[in-house]
Amino acid sequence: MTGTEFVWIAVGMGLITVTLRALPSVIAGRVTPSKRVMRFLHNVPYAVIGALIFPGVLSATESPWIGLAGIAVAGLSAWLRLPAVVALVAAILATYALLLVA
Amino acid sequence: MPMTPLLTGFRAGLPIALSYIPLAMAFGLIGLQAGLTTWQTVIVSSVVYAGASQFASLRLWQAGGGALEILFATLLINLRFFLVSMTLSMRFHHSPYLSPRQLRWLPLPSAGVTDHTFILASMLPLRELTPAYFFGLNIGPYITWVVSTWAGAALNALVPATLGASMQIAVYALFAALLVPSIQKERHALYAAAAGALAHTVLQQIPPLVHWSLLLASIIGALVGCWTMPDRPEQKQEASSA
Repeated sequence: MTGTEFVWIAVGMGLITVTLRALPSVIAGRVTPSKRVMRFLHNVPYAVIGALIFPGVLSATESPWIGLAGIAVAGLSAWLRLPAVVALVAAILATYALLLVA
Repeated sequence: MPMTPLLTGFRAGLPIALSYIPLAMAFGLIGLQAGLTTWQTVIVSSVVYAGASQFASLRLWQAGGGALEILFATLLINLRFFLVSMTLSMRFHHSPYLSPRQLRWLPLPSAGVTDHTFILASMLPLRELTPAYFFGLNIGPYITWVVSTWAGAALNALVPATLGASMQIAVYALFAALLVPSIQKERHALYAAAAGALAHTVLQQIPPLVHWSLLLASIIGALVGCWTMPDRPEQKQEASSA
């Protein structure tokens, strides 16, 4: 079990992943999807974000509540139309403060 | 490729790049613990560039998993890239602002799409969405991912533990920052996200579906979004607001 072996496996992983990423950009030009398919695709990003937030955020820090508080700070910043970087830094600082006092 | 969209895309990608730092550093560190050298972790991050599958494959490898098993797990975990890349490619190919010559470049930036750059690009007005912008958007997070992997492995003892732990929130904060403006605009975005979140939480409890859970939850969430969406095609909406 050497690291070199894993690196070769990773090259295979990379080939699979880059194919999954780039192939649609080639075939998308050759098909005309129906209105229904376009409606579905329009909703994919929102569904992906939701699925990526939960349940992951609950185990992001040592307590689910600190994770929820951190993401709430980011959500509030975004609701107030602050730039994404500000939301990010605010969430990290809030989480840091909570972890220090917890 | 024209310079201005490239730079605009690059700037838009910086918050995403920032959020990748803790995750990539964690991969560098865990790679070292699994028996890779610093440079081997860097090679893995640069050729795979997909966090979830990198962590999962390392775990499988440590547990004695073979190459085929790891490659199959990678295929399952990363199948969602096909879905998101297809979604985005449809936007590009149906944009009235792009020429076939511009679209020829699309496979290059698509090769580096992530969940986050996809979300950002799919919320951009069609007029601003070009392959050059998309390339600029993807290149910063990619470089950050690779460099931070190196930093995590090389500087692992230097980051205070509590600060490192609090940085784990970065990627979730980024999701929230990307989602909230859409919810303010479209109610069905909230329903799609909530359904995706609920489906993912439930599906993760079912062992045979663990590697499929993100893909399945995305499909379920998108379907719920469809049902709750007012009967108006996207392009019409964008053309009238443009």
